[in-house]
Amino acid sequence: MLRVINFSKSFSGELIISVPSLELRSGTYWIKGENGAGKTTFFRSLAGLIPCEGNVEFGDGISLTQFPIRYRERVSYGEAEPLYPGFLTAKDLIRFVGNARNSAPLQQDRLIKKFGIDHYFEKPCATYSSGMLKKLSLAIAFLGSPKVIILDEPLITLDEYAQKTLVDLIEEYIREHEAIVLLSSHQFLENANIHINQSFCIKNKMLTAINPI
Amino acid sequence: MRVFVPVFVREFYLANTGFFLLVIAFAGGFMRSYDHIALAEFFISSPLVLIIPIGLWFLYSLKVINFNWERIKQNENEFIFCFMLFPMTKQWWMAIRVVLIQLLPAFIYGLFLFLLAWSHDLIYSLFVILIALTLLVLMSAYHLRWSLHHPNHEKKVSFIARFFNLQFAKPFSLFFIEWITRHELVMLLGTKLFSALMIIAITALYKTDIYDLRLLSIGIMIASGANVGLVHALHHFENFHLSWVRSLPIPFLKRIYFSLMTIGIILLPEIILLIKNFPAEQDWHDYVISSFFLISVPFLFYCLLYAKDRNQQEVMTLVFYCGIVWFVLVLFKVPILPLGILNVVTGFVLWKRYYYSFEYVSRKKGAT
Repeated sequence: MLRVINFSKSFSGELIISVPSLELRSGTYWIKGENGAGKTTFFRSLAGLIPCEGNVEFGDGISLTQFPIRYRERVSYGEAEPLYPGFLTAKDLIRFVGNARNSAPLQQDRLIKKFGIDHYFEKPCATYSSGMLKKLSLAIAFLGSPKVIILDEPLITLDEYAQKTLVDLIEEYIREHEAIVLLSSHQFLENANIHINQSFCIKNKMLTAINPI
Repeated sequence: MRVFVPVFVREFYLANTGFFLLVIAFAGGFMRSYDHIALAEFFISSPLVLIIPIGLWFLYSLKVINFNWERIKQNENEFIFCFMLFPMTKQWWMAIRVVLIQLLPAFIYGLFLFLLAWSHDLIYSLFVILIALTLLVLMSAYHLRWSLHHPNHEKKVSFIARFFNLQFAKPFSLFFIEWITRHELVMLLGTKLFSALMIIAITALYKTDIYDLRLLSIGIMIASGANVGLVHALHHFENFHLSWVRSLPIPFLKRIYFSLMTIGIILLPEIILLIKNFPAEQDWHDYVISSFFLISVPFLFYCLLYAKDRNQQEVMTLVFYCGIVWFVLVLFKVPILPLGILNVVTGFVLWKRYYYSFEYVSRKKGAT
């Protein structure tokens, strides 16, 4: 279980998003909101990429601020528009992140195959299309044994086969690792056959729950 | 033109603030007005000697061309390709105006040489200056226009790069080294040249006269201070291009190890030069202490940037003030070992305290 209490994030004194209280259990959650509503800021804060106010912790007390390493072992993040230095290859990135997340080479190779990254595994990122970059960032997000997988706009630029792979992986991580999967998307996730446990909406800079679908 | 100025001109001067400050400090700090005039008179005395300033202008033009090329390759600037829809004469006029502003420092010095040559009736030199500057403008403008007409060119991977990519996964400490070699080569070479010359010059003094370690310590201090500019680029690279690394569960000591390795690789040329030229009468442990201090200064400033983000100009000002303090301490015979230890310990503490709470605000520096 992931608990978010009195969360807020401001830039230069201006509040971007606040979450008074939120509890998430294993399942898939859809965060909705118009452009600029603060979805990515919320995700980046949860992933530990940017500092925030409030408390974000797991049920066993592992929190973002007090146990930064152990918290990060459990949370992974796939960016909406991933950008990597053009000279790095998928191999450089996957091996590095895999090592940091204690991901076995077998798991790395399986994800590489599943997303079809093996065709361009040893080529530099500068030669990738946006879809290829997206697949790489998604594969990286599933490395290790994350309890919370945060995927920002996971469907954009993905081909149909990769979308199906993504849905299968989400189901697998929920079933086998009791993972919490947080998604943001402007597309209808139902069309991609993703089962949503609960949707949320960011309105007036506050995250509020929408009735279960 | 309203679009071209912020994309090419403003960003060029912002990205090279440190470079221009260094040039101004060098020209204003070490040379008096009559030194400048004497040097300029030497340059214009013969068209052959004029090759020196023209060569420097040429290198500066290459810097401008490289900067514009990198800007054009960035996805955020793709909108600028609509440039090719303008009539041909307007395209040339816009490209020339952009490079003229970028080449302004070369033109100012060119004007100085031109007026001096005029006052001395050196017609031949006058023409050489005029032709050289015109050709440099045309070359830079031609390249800018050509680049804007050839968007999304095919990206080729060299045989050597392909071979290494097949055999190895790059270690993390080499990520930055490859980035700076590809994107800030002029800065890298300039810094290395300056610090290498500093070490060679200082160690050469020990061959003819007898000095204690203080002179060498001051030389090392200046050489390591020059490398802070590279550490500033490392900080930018980590927080702009590899910001996602912060979300990885990498233990504190391992992160420190990665950073120290990267800084160590950056300073490898200076460390090797020190071994080669270290004064024979000094002990080997003085060499180890000198190398340690050499690394400790950039490490301190790298960690300081996590406590408070500063632009390159602010960082170099801080380096200057710290340099004065260290200089005085060394003159009063304070050994550099405790200074180096203090630098490293302060760096550790600052980094541990601020790493996760640090928030990077992009300065839009060459996002490539």
